[in-house]
Amino acid sequence: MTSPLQVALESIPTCFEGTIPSAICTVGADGAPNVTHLSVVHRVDERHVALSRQFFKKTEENTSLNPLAQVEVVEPGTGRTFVLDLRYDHTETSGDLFERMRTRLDAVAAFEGMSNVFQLRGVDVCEVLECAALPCEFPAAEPVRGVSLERLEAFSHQLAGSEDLEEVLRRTLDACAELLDCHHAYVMLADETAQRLYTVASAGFPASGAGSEVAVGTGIVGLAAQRRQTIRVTNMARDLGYAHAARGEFAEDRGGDDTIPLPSLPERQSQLVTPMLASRQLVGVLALESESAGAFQAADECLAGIMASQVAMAIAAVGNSTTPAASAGVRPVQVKYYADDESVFLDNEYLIKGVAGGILWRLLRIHEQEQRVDFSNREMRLDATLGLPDVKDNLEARLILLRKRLEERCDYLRIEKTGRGRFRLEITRPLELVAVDAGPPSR
Amino acid sequence: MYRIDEALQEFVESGVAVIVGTADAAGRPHVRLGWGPRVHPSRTRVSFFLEAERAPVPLGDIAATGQVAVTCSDPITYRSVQLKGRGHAVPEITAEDEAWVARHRAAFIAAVAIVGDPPHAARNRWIEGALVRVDFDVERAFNQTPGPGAGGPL
Repeated sequence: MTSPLQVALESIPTCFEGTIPSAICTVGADGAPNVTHLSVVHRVDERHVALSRQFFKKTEENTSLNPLAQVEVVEPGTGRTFVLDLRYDHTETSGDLFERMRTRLDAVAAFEGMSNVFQLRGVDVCEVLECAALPCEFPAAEPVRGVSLERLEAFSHQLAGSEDLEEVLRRTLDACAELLDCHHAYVMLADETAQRLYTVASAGFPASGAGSEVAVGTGIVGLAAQRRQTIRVTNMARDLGYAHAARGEFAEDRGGDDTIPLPSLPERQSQLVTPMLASRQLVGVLALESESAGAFQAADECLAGIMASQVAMAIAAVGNSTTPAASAGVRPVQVKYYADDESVFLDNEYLIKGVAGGILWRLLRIHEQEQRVDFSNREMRLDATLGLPDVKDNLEARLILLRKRLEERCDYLRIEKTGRGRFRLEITRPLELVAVDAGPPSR
Repeated sequence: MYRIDEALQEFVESGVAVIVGTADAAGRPHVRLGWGPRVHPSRTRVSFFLEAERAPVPLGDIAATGQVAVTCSDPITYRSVQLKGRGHAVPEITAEDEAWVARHRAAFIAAVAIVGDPPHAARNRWIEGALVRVDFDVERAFNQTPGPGAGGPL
């Protein structure tokens, strides 16, 4: 029977977050030590860790001859240091563990707008023979963040009782603050094709980013959606340095389109992106950011995962229900509509595009022709000119998005909710509607 | 012997993270943080310091085998260089040595603060106590920066 480790791996979870690089020493056939840094030592279970095979061929060569290694890991919040004696067991080149580590590496590359920078050739799974703490001046352990099941249950009940998508989204962002102590979060929903995500609600960012879009597969957010995996970045500054070193050049690209930037903290150090899935379908993503390194821990990842599933199911449940708009003034505002991509410009300033742009244009046209200001979701759905899909149209989300964009961009055009599934168009300046057949001007 | 030029000396003596690898005669590896790397005027010898209380096993390895590997990494850019060679512990250290280590630790804390390490956590990476100086003759040097060139000789 194996004796217990001096320090249980599960008691030092933050050492395995990759916040502070770990060091590994192996020994060659000639007895010479080889020492290098590793970006992440991944805890597999109570007696195993996994090391990524990326660049360090000497380490691999050594472990193939002598399976022993020693790794030094550091607890980021306290600086406590632990040494792990390892024995190489086997290498995995596919499977869940491999995919999780691959996604983690690809996320860093994605942030940098790179691809194939961190080619993960394999994951070396090692048995942990011993884990011991080094003496230190301040031995107090990092406080473990507790998860309140009562509060999680309360959130679950709140979601179940939500009347419409807007309430679901509001409660979700509130829960990020209450349950995860994260005050910078946003929700993106998948469009009808499940190929793009668009921001529908956010809290705690300098700019709301409402309407910002990203292709599934692009950037950290798009990667989490594509792989259906949570991505947790614990130290952006270090990851960028690592990516930069590996690539030797810098090309920041978060993956969002350039029309509206994604919600973002200027000094973000940590990011947690969790896909929201219901009935195996991608509903969207829940994204959290922090200006502190190591802000999101493994426990937060679990909690965010549970929340995301609950939110996804709640969205699917309220799915097709609601929303809001009306008139007159001074100089008319020119509303230009480009049919090519359904983009709408107010006095030549970009407002929105895609389905939401098409909806706004349709509302304004009806208002112009019929002087009508009250609308229902139902008539929007039945309106063949909008071309909404029969099954999953995300109309409510589009209306919320549209309302937020209008609130951000002008003070004379509003969409106000007037009841369940009903909304009003409020227009306080005269509008001049101009439809353009050609594509929009380059932005 | 490998000859360290001025540019590499400047890098090695900056606020780099220093990790020291050793192995005992049975091939068991050991790793610890080292402090205060310094290039000797000969340019083929480097000194660094280990903490007696935190690194008794690596110091025992060096006494037994003489083999040592030292990787210096810039915490911000990840530029890394590994030096390998043979050395020995020096029985006594001087006030000048202690001042040199203090200078390196201050530079290290400043560097890791830039990438988000809280100063109190960085400070916990060593304890106040006896230091042991290790002098070693550099036989080989390698690029250890993550990337396709990692592991290549300098």
